Order: sequence, then structure tokens, then C-alpha cells
Amino acid sequence: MSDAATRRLMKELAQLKSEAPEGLLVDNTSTSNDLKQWKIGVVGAEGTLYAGEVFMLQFTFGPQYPFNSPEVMFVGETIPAHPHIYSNGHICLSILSDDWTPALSVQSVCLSILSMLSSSKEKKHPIDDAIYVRTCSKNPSKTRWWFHDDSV
Amino acid sequence: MANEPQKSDDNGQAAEAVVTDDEIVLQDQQLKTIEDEQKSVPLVATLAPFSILCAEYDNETSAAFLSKATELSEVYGEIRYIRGDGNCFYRAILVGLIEIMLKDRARLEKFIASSRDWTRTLVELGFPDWTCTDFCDFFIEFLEKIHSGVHTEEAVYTILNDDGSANYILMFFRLITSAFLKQNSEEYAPFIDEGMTVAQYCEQEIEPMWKDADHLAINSLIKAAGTRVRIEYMDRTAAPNGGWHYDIPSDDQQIAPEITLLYRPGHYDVIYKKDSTEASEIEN
Repeated sequence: MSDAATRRLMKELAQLKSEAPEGLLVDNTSTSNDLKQWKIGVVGAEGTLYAGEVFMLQFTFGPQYPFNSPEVMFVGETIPAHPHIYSNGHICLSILSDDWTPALSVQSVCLSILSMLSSSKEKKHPIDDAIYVRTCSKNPSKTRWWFHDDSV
Repeated sequence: MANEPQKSDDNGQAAEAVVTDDEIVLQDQQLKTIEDEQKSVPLVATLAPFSILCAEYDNETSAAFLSKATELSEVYGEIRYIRGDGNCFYRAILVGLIEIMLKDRARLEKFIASSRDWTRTLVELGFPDWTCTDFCDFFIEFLEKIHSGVHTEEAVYTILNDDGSANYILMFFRLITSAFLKQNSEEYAPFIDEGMTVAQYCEQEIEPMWKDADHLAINSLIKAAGTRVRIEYMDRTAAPNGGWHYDIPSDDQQIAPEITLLYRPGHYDVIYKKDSTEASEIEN
């Protein structure tokens, strides 16, 4: 971790703990001691297909954070079935790769993912799930996505 | 998400995009090689005599560039190389401005004030509040420490060469470029590829790190930072006006540029005129 990355992550954590937006679960066990890995709970919004369901998002930060994007995926027993989320937890979302900017944050990523869940009309994984999960890299940031239809 | 950039293919499928681990390893190695090459140049190099540029070219393989470099060496005495990591234009302007402010206290004070104004403007324009103000605060603190003498000139160059701090400062320049474009979106929209809004263009081309500045970004940053820049070209096909150099803003030819950059395909370095009395005869 560079000094800049650590400084920024400490600020993000303090801000998230003091005023976590609705639907995000953060506590003292959320981050590793060196701040390299975070686990944030996200709660499906009322009135959506995932209402009340709790999922776990894992963030892994490299030394170039926030200039490079964090690696973000769902982990744990329940991976949300969603047309942009593979059953291994990988998420197809452009701000996690090409469209990442240092002005984004853990919080804005969580909120984008929550909003992606909220707009889903169907609880199912992408149709290429089987082949993707079998052949993809362990690191979702390495996937060269062709972004899916963004209407969902 | 409806407002995500459109990159989907016609079928909305991801299957063709699956890349194997072997391919990823190969790509990573290639990226590493490029990165190592980039890092052989410091983010901001020390001043070097302009003749170092002439020495880069060979009379047999690149006679035209050698002749242009020699011609420029009549007018310019020094060059400061900037690392080619996709941020070189932004970094070159940052360095040029800091050099002016190290010598001109009034200018430094004015720039601190305008940086505070930019912080407010970013928030008003709806940039993500605290991450953006964090970049602004970091930059303003850096300028204030120059003002108070906490940062000596030597310390300034050390900071400009420290990856984390230097890129934090550089983000301020990307943000004001983006803000300037968003403020003037009506004027600039016609120059952006069809199907993309000014906001989308900024989010995809200006705000992410390591993305080269195109003419729109160059114009916007120079105006946002309130400076006057001359870009010298090694060949005439590269200049927007088909000439050997190009001044921005272009509407004010009477006032001399205060920063001069040398453009070589895909890259900018900062160059410095010889003593003005010595060079003025040769210039025109």
C-alpha cells in the first residue's frame, strides 16, 4: 500500500462508518488490518426482487488505489442471481474496469451495485455463466468484458 | 444500469470476451514491460540541456526530426522530460505552473484562490462530493506549503516525483479539465463523438488516470488553469493549424505564452527558451 492509498482508504472507512448509506452494512470487522481487503454487506432494497436479502461484497485494493480500480466481487454463501452477476461472484460493471475514475469510492461502487440489483427484472445469472465460470481468471479485474445489455 | 456507458455488442453477450489465464499471463507480462519502460523516466525529470533531444535522433534514420530538433535548439535551451504514462500533458502543465508559482508569489496566491473556487464549482457541478474535495484539499495544502516556505523548491520536485502524492495532485488537473468541459458543455458538445454526452466523455476520457489528453482536454485544461501555452511540433502534420507551433488560447496572440511544451507523437515534454534577448532574433 502506498501512503496515498492508505490515507485515502482510512478516510473512506471513517466516512462510511460515520454515515453509512441505507442498504450498506459496515462494522469494525469489515476491513483487514492493513486495509487491503474489505467486506461490505449490501441489503436488497424494499420493493425489489432482492428485498431484505443480504449479500457480501469483497473489495481488494492494490497499491495504486484510488488511481486504479479495486477488485470487487460477491463472496459468501449467497451470490445474487442477476443478469450481470456470475455464479462465482464476478460482476460485470464498467466502473469496475475501464470506466473507473479516482473520484469514485467504495461507497459509490456499493451504491451502483445496489442500484444494479434494484433494476433487475429477473433473478438469473448471465446466459454464458457456465462457460465463464469454468474459464475465467480468479481476478475479475482481468476479465475483458464486453458489457452486457445495460437495460437491466 | 441505464446510465452505464454503452459497450454491449448486439446480442448483449459476454461469451466471446472470455480470456484464458494463459492469455492473461501473457498480457500481464506485456503490460509489465511497457510499465518498466515508462518507469525508466522519472515522473518529472531534472532540467537537461536541449542538445539531449538532438542526440536522440540519427541523421540517417530520422533526418527530418534531427533537423527540426536542431532548429528548436536555436531558440530553446533546456528540456524537462515527463514520464509517458498517459498523464504527460496534465503533468507537463502542472510542472509548468508550479515553476511559475515558485518564482511568482502573487501568482501562487491567485492560484490558491482559484483552486478554492474550483473546489466549490466541482461540488456544484455534482462531482462526487468528498472524494473530489479530497483531491482539491490535497493540492491546495501543497500550494499553501509552498507559500509558507514549508516546501522548499527541492521538496516540491521530490513530491512531484512521488507516485502517490504526485498523482493525487494530478487528479486536481483532470477534475478541473472535466469541470470546465461540463460548464461549457454546449460549446464543446459538437466536438464529441456522436452518441456520447459531454458528461460521459469526461467520465470515460478525462477523469480516469493514464488516459491521454486529446485536443479538447488540452484546450479545456489550459483555459481552466488560466494559463497560456505554446505547443511546438516536430512535424507540421501534427499541429491543429498545420504550423510548427500552436498557441492556446489562440485568440490572444499578443501575449507571450508562459509555458512551452514539445509534442512528439503521443507525448509532451516541457521546454524552456534561452535567455529572451539571445533568442528573440532567431525566433521569427
